[in-house]
Amino acid sequence: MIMGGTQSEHKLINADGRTRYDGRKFDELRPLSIQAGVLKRADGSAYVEWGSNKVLAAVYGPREVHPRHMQNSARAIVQARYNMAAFSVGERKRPGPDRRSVEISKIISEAFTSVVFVEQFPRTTVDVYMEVLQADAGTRCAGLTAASVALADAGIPMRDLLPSVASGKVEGVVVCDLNKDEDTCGEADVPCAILPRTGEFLLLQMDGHLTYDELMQAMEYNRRACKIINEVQKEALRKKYSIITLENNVMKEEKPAEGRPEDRDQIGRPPESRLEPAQQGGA
Amino acid sequence: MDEDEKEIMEDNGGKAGEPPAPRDRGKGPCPPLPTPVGPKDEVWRGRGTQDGSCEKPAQPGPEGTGGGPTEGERPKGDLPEGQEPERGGEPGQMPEGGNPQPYREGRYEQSRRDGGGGGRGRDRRDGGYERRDGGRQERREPGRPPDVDRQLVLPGDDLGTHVRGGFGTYKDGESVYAACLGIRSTRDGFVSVIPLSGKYIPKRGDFVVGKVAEMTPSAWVIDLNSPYVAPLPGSETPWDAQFGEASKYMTVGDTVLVEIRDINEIGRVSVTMMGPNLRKLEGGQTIDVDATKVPRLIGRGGSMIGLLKRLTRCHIIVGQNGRIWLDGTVEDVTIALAAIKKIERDAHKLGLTDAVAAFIEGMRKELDEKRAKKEAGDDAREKNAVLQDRAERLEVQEEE
Repeated sequence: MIMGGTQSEHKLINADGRTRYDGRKFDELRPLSIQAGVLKRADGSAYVEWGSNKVLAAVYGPREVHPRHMQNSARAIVQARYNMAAFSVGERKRPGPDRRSVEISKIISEAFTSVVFVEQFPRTTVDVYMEVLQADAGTRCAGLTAASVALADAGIPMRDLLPSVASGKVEGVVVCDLNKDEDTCGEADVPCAILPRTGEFLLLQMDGHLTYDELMQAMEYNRRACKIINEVQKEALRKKYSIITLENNVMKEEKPAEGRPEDRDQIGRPPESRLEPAQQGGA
Repeated sequence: MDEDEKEIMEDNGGKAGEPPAPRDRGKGPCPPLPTPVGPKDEVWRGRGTQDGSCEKPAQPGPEGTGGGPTEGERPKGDLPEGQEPERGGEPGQMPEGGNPQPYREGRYEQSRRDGGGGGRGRDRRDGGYERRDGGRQERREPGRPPDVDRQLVLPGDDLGTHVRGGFGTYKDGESVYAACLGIRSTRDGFVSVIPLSGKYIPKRGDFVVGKVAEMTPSAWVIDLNSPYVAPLPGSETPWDAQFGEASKYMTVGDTVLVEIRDINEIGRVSVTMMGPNLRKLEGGQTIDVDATKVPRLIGRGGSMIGLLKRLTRCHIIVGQNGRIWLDGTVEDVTIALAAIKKIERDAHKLGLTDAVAAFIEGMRKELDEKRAKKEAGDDAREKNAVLQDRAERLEVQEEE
């Protein structure tokens, strides 16, 4: 599972002290691509590929609440369901909700409850489904990022698109967007969901031990990464809807989708070929 | 078939005393073209009469013609069809300032006077329409290049500081931000966002096509293609249904044309069937489209729906909730369904009315050819049968 065979000891941080084993800088994200509106039956949907993560999100609603007693006559409820496919991880995952996915569903639904204008749709529910097809650490963040695009795709009024990312500590260094190896062998993991405009934290968890300064550093990484993720989210929605504004105007044709938009997600850096080994290493 | 069509067109031309329908069709669909004021007036007059002519023949006995599925009469006969273009038409007309009066002389005015609280209804209707279509009207200002400011906004996008926020926006501190994904529109000093997707939320005064979802002894529960359902008590129907008799009049699955009377702050909707043209829709079938596409389906001043009705020869009723009821011959309905799907799919395209007209004509031609071929085949088979029969008879005679 861990790395190519060249290194004998499992070093997650390279000897140069500036890069990680997959070639990324400490504050660098994995390649991220989002596609909006991939499902026909859902009111809104999105598909996210983030490193080796593959997550599908679907949104329904606002719609009637069943069972009736769960409805709130003052506002809409947001019901999120995070689920990992049996084949999403190396060892077969026992299907069905477990402690972990119930927790994730809960925090995601709470994050969205404060971003969606729930007061506009009393007595209804907005259902958010996230299916993790392939997991490689940071799936709750990938799910949340996808679900947020799906919500916008469904035309649900909300304050902002909600990006999410996790930073953590690996071999004593705070790094952004952990992959599977860093997550399992690292010391800490801090997933966040941050409103890009106001910088509000709508989700903040921590697993492991960090000093105060390290936590601040991780949150700062997350804050900066969320801005970038937000741009990718926006671009995904624009790509789906821009024909509406551009087509027929002969202004310009949207550039055909390049399979993997590597240049979008770097933190202030141009695309570089050394991202490639990262993918191979992860897969 | 072609003759019918010709007839209708001639009707239009004749009654309007105007350039005939084809011209209208050519002109109508591309409203965003920057037209100077003069020509625009012409366009509008043309369109008004075009719709009017659709309406006029209905006056003698609209319900009567509605019942009989005669092909030629079809597009003219249906009552509430008119209602939609009207709704689209009125608000479109007014701000234009071009030619307000000729448009809706007919039944609409009348019905408004007839129906109690008609005036109220009209205001509401205008409001309801503008909410969804505000931006498009705005784009039609003379001399303005079309669609240049058709800007896509996403939730959280800043819409400016010294503006008032309209539909689909929220204010935070100094600035107004977009709440929905949609097209930005500025109108009357308000910045609003016209959503591109989303569920239908009932609005007072909307006409919607509902379906009976549940029944109680004295009331029906109407599904509105929306997160909310609405009870329809017997007192809001034209029937004098006694307790326990509800099923005599409507059962689960029936389609009704109702008006949203009110929706309160907790989303309780009340609907009514008391009003001109509101009724149970007998026969026909329904199709659901995205409610945000309804203004497009109706078209500016009802141009699109008028064209659909004329070319497909169906009764069509478009509810603001995105549910469409249509009735006609199998072939006509097939064409209409395909056309509606096309409109929904291509709602964002310019010049859609033209495209739809071409689409319908193409499809009709195709179907005609197919049928002609089939009939020719049938004829040949019949002829063969007759010949064979004759031959057999001859043989028998010979044997005798």
